[in-house]
Amino acid sequence: MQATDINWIFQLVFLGFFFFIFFYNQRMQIWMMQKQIERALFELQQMSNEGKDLLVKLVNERGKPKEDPRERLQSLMDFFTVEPVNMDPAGVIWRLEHILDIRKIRWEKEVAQVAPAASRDVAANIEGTIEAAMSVYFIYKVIRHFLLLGKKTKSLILIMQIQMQLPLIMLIAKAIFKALKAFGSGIPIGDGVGPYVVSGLVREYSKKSPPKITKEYTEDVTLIEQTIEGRNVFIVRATGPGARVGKPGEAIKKLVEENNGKFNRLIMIDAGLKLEGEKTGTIIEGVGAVIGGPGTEKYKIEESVGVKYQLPMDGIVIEESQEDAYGPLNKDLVNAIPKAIERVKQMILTRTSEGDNVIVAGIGNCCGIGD
Amino acid sequence: MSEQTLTVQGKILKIAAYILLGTGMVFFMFAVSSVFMGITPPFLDGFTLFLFGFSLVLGGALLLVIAQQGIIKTEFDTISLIKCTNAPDCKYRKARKFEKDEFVFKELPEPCEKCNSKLHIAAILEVEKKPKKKKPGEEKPEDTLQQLEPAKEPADKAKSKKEEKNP
Repeated sequence: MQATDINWIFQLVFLGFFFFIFFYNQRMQIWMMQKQIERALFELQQMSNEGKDLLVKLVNERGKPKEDPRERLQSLMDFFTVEPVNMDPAGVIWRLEHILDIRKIRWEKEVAQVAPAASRDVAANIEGTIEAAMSVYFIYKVIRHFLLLGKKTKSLILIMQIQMQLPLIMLIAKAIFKALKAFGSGIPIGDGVGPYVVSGLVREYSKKSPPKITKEYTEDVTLIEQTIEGRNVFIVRATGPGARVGKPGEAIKKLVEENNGKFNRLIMIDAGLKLEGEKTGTIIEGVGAVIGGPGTEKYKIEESVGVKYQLPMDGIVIEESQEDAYGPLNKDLVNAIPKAIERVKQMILTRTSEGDNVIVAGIGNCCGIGD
Repeated sequence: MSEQTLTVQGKILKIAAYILLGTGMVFFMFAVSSVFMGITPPFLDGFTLFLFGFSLVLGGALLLVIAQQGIIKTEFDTISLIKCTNAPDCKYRKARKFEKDEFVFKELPEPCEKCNSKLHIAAILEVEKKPKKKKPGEEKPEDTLQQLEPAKEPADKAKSKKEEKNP
């Protein structure tokens, strides 16, 4: 073969390649993105299936169901909640709360049916596990929907928007999957640092001043009254060790109203999302109602404590990533607990006087954290 | 629970793979330029350049696949950290594997080995499994404890150490 012949072959190959890229460039791009989404979808499917298996195992072990719970649990995976209409925002908080209440009651009944032998705490853990499994399954369904729709319509925009958001979506899915495993075993999660800190504070002073504990002060919330450094401290947290968050806003509102607002300060402790680059377990301070969730509890605190009685509200946030918040506690967070307790003590000492009434609220999921 | 990371060998292989891929691409470019612009290195013709480039890219891709085999999973263990309810007066601490139905602040039936007070679970947390260097019998749960907080030495031990230094 002569050099000129090879050159001709190269020319033809290159021209063929050039025209192929010219006309099929976008198709190739779509194909590559599709493959990436398919890989992620496979991982999500595995997570979803593993989550369901874990849930069935947990229900069978702890709930002793009379029949196979698989079918009932699968139907719960597609459970939906319709948010209230917000075109007329007046009273939307109470309408949202009503929907969340009936959802909670429905879930409790479902869990009682599917796991009749489960104790109250185990039932709460099962509820948490179902919710986490449902979330992973939902993410899987949405990604599958966009992938199939993109394939059907050959739309670059549909495929592209999923592919570009994929790293963040996978991060959230993996974090929820971690929570699923933690709820299933009753292991404390990062979101539970608030209740952990307040219970640690109670234990520190329990020898000097025995605490007065009122279980179920409001639904799923425990109230602990204790004298700390000469102040009357009212500690509010969700009832543990089941995976509950309770309604701390409702409890604070009730407490303030029962005492005609005779409080000097409200201190709230919660886990907060850190920004990338910040260290997990960093403790920061601020003002306002430090509480997440759908907003109903925050509204109650702002209305009762803030607007009605004009009480100062302080907040302590323990920073962590989304993965840390959903996943089991790690050493950075555990090491932050004594420091946070110290901060609360300092706050009580420096911002209140002896004989003052102070509310300290530990906000978060109490999975694996006893009262 | 586990997370995926590359081993050191995997990372080295990955870098080597990228070098091969890069060199292969350069050879390809020379091959294309020799065909279209007539710029050919004196010792190699276009066809040989193409063959070289192709083999290098193939080798690089192969190395990348092998590097992926070097992925190791970081395993995690859930441990319960047990402390005496008489803390900080009693410094007794112990870490062991998390057991079913345990929760933070749960009081344990067994008494403290040091002061006979009640024991409780002070923390439940996830720690990274470390590669086993010691024999199974030589492993100490205290190794995990040291990751959590700097352990304070009991007063009597610290005293005896001081005495050793300054007899």
